[in-house]
Amino acid sequence: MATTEKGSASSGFAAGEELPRAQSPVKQFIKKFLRRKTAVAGFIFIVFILILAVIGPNITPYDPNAYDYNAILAAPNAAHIWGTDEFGRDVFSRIIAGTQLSLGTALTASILGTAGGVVLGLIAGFFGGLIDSFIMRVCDVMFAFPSILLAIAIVAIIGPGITNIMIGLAVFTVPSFARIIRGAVLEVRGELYVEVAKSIGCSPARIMFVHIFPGTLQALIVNFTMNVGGAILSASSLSFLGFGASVTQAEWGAILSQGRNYLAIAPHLVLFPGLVIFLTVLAFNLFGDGLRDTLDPKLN
Amino acid sequence: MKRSENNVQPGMTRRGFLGLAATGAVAAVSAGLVGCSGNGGDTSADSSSDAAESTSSVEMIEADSDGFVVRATKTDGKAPKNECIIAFEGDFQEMHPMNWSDSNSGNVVYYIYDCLYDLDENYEPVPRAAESYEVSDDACTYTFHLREGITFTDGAKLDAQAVVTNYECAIDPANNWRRRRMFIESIDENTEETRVDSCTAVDEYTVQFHLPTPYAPFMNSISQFYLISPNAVTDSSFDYSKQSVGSGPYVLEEYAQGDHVSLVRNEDYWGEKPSIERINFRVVPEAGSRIAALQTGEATAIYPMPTDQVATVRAAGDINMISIPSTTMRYVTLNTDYEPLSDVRVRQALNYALDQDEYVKVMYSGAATPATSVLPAAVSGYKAQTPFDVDLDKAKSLLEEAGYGDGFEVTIIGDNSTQETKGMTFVMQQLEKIGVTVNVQPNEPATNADLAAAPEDETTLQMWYVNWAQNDADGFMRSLLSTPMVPPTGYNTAFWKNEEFDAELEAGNAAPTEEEQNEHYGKCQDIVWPECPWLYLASDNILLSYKAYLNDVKYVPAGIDVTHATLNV
Amino acid sequence: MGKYILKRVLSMIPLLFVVSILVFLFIHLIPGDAARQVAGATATAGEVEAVRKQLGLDQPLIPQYIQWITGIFHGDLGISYTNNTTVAELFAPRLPITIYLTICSITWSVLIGIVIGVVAAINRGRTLDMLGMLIAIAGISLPNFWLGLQLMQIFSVNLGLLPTGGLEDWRGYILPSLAMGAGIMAILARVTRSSMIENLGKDYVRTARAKGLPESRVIMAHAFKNSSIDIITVTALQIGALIAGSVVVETVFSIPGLGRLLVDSIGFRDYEVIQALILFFSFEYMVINLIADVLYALINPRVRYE
Repeated sequence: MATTEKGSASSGFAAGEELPRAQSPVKQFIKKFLRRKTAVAGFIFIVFILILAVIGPNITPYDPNAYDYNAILAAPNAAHIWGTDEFGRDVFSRIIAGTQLSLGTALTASILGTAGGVVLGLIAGFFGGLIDSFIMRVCDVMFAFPSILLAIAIVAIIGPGITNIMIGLAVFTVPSFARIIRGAVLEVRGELYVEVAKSIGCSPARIMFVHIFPGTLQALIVNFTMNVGGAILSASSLSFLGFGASVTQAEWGAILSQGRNYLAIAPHLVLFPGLVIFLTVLAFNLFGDGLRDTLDPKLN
Repeated sequence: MKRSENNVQPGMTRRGFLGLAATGAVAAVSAGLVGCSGNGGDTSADSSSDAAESTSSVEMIEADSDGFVVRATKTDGKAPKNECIIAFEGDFQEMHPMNWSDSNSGNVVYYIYDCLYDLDENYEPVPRAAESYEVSDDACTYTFHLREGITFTDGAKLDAQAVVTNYECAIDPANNWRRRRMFIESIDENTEETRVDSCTAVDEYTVQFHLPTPYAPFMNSISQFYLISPNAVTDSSFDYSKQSVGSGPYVLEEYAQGDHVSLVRNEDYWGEKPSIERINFRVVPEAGSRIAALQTGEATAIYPMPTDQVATVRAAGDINMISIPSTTMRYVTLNTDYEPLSDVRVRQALNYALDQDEYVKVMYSGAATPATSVLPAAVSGYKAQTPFDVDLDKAKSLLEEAGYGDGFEVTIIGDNSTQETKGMTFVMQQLEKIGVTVNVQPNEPATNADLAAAPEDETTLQMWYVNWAQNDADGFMRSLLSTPMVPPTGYNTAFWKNEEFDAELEAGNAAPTEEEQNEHYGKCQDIVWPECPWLYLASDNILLSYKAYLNDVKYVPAGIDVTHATLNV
Repeated sequence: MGKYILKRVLSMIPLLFVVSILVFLFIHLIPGDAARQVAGATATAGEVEAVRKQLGLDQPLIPQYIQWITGIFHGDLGISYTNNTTVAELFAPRLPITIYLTICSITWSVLIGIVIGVVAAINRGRTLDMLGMLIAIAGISLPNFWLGLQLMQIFSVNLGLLPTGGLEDWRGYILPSLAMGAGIMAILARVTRSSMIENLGKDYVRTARAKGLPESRVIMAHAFKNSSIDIITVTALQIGALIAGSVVVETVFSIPGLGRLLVDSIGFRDYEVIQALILFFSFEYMVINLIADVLYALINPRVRYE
C-alpha cells in the first residue's frame, strides 16, 4: 500500500520538476516533501481527483444524464447513495462525471491567468517607472470592470460555452496575480543578491526569472492553490446568475447552484457537491502549503 | 482500478487529516467507486428498476374544490400590524398607470387608480368608476354611466370630461405610453389603426366610445384604462413615482424601485373603505428567502410560491396555499421555415414524443394543466382539441416518412433562469427518445428578445422555449399566430402563416355576439392545432401562499386583490 | 509623498476616460436592444422605433458618447430607461446601503481573518493551526448564497432572532455581512498565516529574538508589520471582489444595493445606469488602490516610487 503511494508521488514529481541536475536534489526534495503528512494527503487527493477527471465518465454507477421522473429529489438511499436531483438523475454519478469539466475549467483558467499575471507582475515590479504604472493602470481598468459584467459581456458577445467561461475566469485572474507578484518583487528587489546580480551585469531577463522569480514563488504557490478553488466557486456564482459554463452537462458548480432551489426539501443536492468542492479546495491548499514549505530554504 | 482505489481509502483515513466529515465523504467516494464496478456499464436511459427504493421528496400539488392546496391548521395567529406585506419575485418598474409594462406594477396601480370597469376572478366585467354600461346592437358603441361624486386625491372631479382627457392622452403618440396599445392596433411595422373612432362626453356623467368595427376584447382594454386626475395627466412633468393622483382605495406612500412600494388607505375613498390600513409590496427575488419571510411573518403573502416547497408550508401550519388556473401558456415555438421543422410531420412527431403529463409533474409538481389547445382553458373562447398522447412509434414513423428516421439536431433558446433552463432540459430529454438531439442554449432575456425580433429572412431562431399570458382569445392568437404578426412586427416566431386562420380570426373579432365570436375562435384553434407550429406544453397555475391571519384574499386578472381582505390583528 | 499622491490622483482622470469609453463600447456591443426592453414585451416594431428615437438611441455611437460624457462633466449622470428617474436619484438610497454593508463585512472579516492567521502562524503545525485553516478553507469553499440561506434558516426562521431581509435597522445588516465577509475572512487568514510564517523565519526576526525582545513584540512589531503589506494588498483586492459577491448576497437577502442594481440594469439594458455604475466602481477601485499604495510606502520605506 505504502509503496503505491510513494511510487505515484515520486513519479509525479520527477515529471513535474524540471530541474537541470537529475537525481539528488529531486530525491532530496521528495524526501522533504514526504515528511509533511498533510501535504502528502492533499497531493494524493489531487492525484485521485485528477484520475477521476480522466476516467470518471466511464465508471459512474449510472449514466449521469439518465433521468427518472419517479425519483425526483430522492434522499440518499441504497440505489442512489447521494440521492437524485430535480430530474431524478443520480447525483453521485453526476459529480463523478462532472469532475472533468469542473476541474478542467478551474485549472485551465487558473494556469492561464496565473501565467499572464506572473509575467506582467514581474515586468511591472522589476522595471518600475512608466512600465509599472502602465501595467498597473491596465490592471486597474480590468479590476474596475466587475467580473460579472465581463462574464456577461463575454457570454453575450461570443456566446455561452465552457471556453468562454474559462477565458472570463482567466482574464480575471491576471490582474490579481500581477499585483501580488509585483508586490513580492518590490520586496525582493532590494535584497542583496539582486543588487549583486545587477552589479555583475546580468541581463534583466536573467535577473527577473533566475533571481527575482524564485523569490516570489511562495506568494505565487499559495495564491495559485487558492485560486483553483476560487475558480470552481466563481463558476458556481456564474451559474447562480444564469451564466453557467454548462447547462446540460454535469458540473459541480451548476449542481450546487441549481440545488439551492431545493435547499429546504433536498439538502443533499447542495451538501455533496459542496463537500467535494470543499475537499478539493482543501487538498489544493494543503498541497500548496507543503510545496511552499519544502521549497523554502530557510525552513530546513 | 478497483485495487488502487481500495488502497487509497485506508491510506487517507489513516492519516486522519480532515476530521469526521471529510473522512466520511472520502469513504463514500471509495465505496461508491467500488460499488460501481459491478454495474458501471449500465447506462440505460430508464433507470427506474435500479431506483426501486428511491422516492421523490417533492409533494405533488393538488387543490381542493376551493383552490386550496394547503389549509392552515393554526388559525389563531395575529398580524403584528394592520399592514399587508406581499413579497413578489420581480421588481416594480414603473408607477405610471398608463406606462407600466410589468404585471407587478400593474398590480400596484390597480389599487391606486380606478378604471371604468374591472374584471373579476372569472374575467367578467364588474363596475368600478362606472355604474353601468351598454353596448349598441352593432357592438360598435359603448356607453358608460359614471358614478357621481368621485374625486381624485387632488380634488379634481372624475367626470366624463376627465375620462375623455385621459383617453386623449393615452393614445397620443407623443406620449408613447406603453398602455397605448389598449386602443391601437399595429397592422405592420409602419401602419397602425385605432380601435376607437371617438371618445366623447355625452353629458357630465356619460361617456361614449365609438369603435369603427366591433372589437371583442374591448372591455378588457377598459379594465386596464386607469384614470388619472386631468391636472396630472396633461402635465408631462408630473412624477408618478413620488406621488399619486388616483381615486382608488389606496394612495402611494413610498416607491423605492428594486425594493418596495408602500400604499396607505385613501381615507376619502368613495366606495367601501378597505379594512387594511397599509399595503407593502416588497421585492424578494430569491425563492428560499420568500418562503423564509412568510414563515417569520415578515411577509403576509408571497407570490409566486415555489412549486416544490409545499411541504415547508404545510409544516408551518399557519399558512394557506392556493392554486388558481392562469391564462399563461407555455410552449416551444417551432420555426416553420427551418428545415426539418418546416415539415408538419416532423412537428407532429415532436408533439407525439413529448409527455405533457411528465412536464406538469417535473416542472410544476402537478400545478399545471397540459395544453389541449393553443389557448389556456381559462381564456374565454377556448376549444379543446385532441391531445397528442405520447406515442413514440407513431413519432418515429412520422419522422421516417419525413426523411428524418435517424433524427436531427436542433437548437432551443430560452431565458437563463433556473426554471426556464430546467424546462429546456426537459424538452431535450423528451426529444432524445426519438433521436432528436436538442442543444440547450439559455440566453439573457434581452438577447432572446433581440433574436426573436429578427425579420423572417434574417432569423436564426429554431426553437424558442417561451410563454404568453393574455386573457382574450383574439389578442392571444393574433399576437402569436397571425400572419401580420410575423417578426419584426409581432411575436409569431413560428413564422406560421395560414390565410384561413387569419380570416377566421378577423371574422371572430368582427362578430357582434360572444357566441359567434367563440365559434370563429374555435375554428381558429381547429386549424392551428394539427399544424403544430408549437411544441405544446402546459398552462401553469398561479400559486399564492399567505398567513392564516389574512382573510378573503382574491386573485383577479389585475393580480392579488386585498381591498376586501381583513387581517386578524 | 504629497507629490506622489497628487500625481496618482491626476492620473485617475485619463484612466476614468478609458474606462468610460470601454464601458460605453462594451455595453453597446452586447446584444439586446434597450429600446425593445423599454417598449415592453408585447411592443410592436413601430413602438420600439418610437422609443429608440425618444431615447436618442438611433444616433450614431460617437455623438451618443459625447452627449453622455458631457453630461457627466456637468454632473448629470443620466436617466434610467426603466421609469425616467435620474441615475442620481437611483443611486442616492442605494449608495449608503452598499457602503455600509461593505464596511461591516470588511471590518469583521479582516479582524477575524488576521487573528486566525496570526494564531495559526504562531502555532504552526499544531492543532490550533489546523483548526484555523479548516475554518479558513471552509470559508473559501462555501458558496455565499448557500451560507446566506443557511444563516437565514437558522437565525431567522428557526430562532426568530434576525430578519430575513430588508434593512430597517442594524439587525438587518448582520446576516448579509456575515455571508459577504466569510470568504474574505478565509482568504485573509490564509494570507496572514503564510506571510507571517515567512517573516517569522527571516533574519531580522531572528536578530530581534536574539536581542532578547519579548516574543509578543517580535511577532507584532517585526513580523506582523512586514506581513501587513501582503494583508493590505489582498484586502484592497477583496474590497473589489465584494462588489461581485454582493450581488449574490443582495439577492438572497433582498437588499436594494448597487450590486443588484448593476445586474438588473444589465438585464434591462439600462445603458446610462450601467455606465454610471461602472464608472463609480472604477473610481472606487482607484481610490482604494491608491490608499493601499500609500500605505505600502508608509510601512515599508524601502518601497520607492519614482
